[in-house]
Amino acid sequence: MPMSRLDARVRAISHAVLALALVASIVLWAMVQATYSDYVEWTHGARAEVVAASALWMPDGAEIAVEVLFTAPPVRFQTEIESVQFNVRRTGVHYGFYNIPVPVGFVVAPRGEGAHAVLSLYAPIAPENSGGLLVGPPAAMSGYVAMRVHLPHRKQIVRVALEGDLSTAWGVRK
Amino acid sequence: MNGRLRADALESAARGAAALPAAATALACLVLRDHVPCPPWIAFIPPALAWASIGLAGHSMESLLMSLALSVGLSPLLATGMVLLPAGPHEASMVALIAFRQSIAATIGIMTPLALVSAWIGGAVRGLLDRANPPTWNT
Repeated sequence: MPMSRLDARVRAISHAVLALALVASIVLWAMVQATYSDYVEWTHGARAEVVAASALWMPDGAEIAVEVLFTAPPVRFQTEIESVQFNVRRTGVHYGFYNIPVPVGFVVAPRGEGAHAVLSLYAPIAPENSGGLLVGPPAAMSGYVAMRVHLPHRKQIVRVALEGDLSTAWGVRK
Repeated sequence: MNGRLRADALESAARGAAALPAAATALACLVLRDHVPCPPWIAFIPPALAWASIGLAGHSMESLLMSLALSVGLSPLLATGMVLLPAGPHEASMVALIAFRQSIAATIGIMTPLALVSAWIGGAVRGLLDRANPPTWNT
């Protein structure tokens, strides 16, 4: 049966709308994919390592001094370090959980640039932990660097694993 | 008659396949809503347009439903694949599970009603046009 002129015209419009929808969705996906794969690559490439860490007697108690090297590949959104959090253990004994906040707005790297930052942080050791921690051999630190990632619609917290040894004032008297 | 039916089935399958990427993109954008650079509802405009165009084409009810079923039914699988693409091998199964679960929920809650309403709107526009200009069957 031959097609009416109206039918042919409507079908042509229908094809055009379908093609437009297809192109729009491809463009949208290309934009989302660019941000998402950038984010995935960044989370795979971000690294944190303990450069130096020690537990020391201080005049008013004891404290942990830790230097953390944070490196990350370039990414298209802003990233900030929120805090460094870790547990300290030695041969199964827990010597406290330490949450050291980093000053608000500490931007690790501007948008589009890789990060290479060394953080020098301090935290007091609770009196119930300092006695046991400082007089023994080096302890193990394990935790993470909490990052705040500015995605287009949300500030996402990403945790980058952190492990290292904590040297102590073993053999040194208060 | 058989040839005509086959041609109709092929055309409806082709239209369903053409609407499938738009539907899957909307689902993938919903799963990755934090990464979408525009308001997330914008992602639903292309599939709505695609389904409206299917309704506008004025096929039989069977062909229309076949196109919609193809695009709506396969979209969670394609969306899961799209989300899974950049994920590393050690996290792939977790990402796939989350993406598939959210895609299925969105398919039931959003995409199926949207597909039916959009196709109905397209069909209604087609009906209005047909009523305004009755077919003369002249080529």
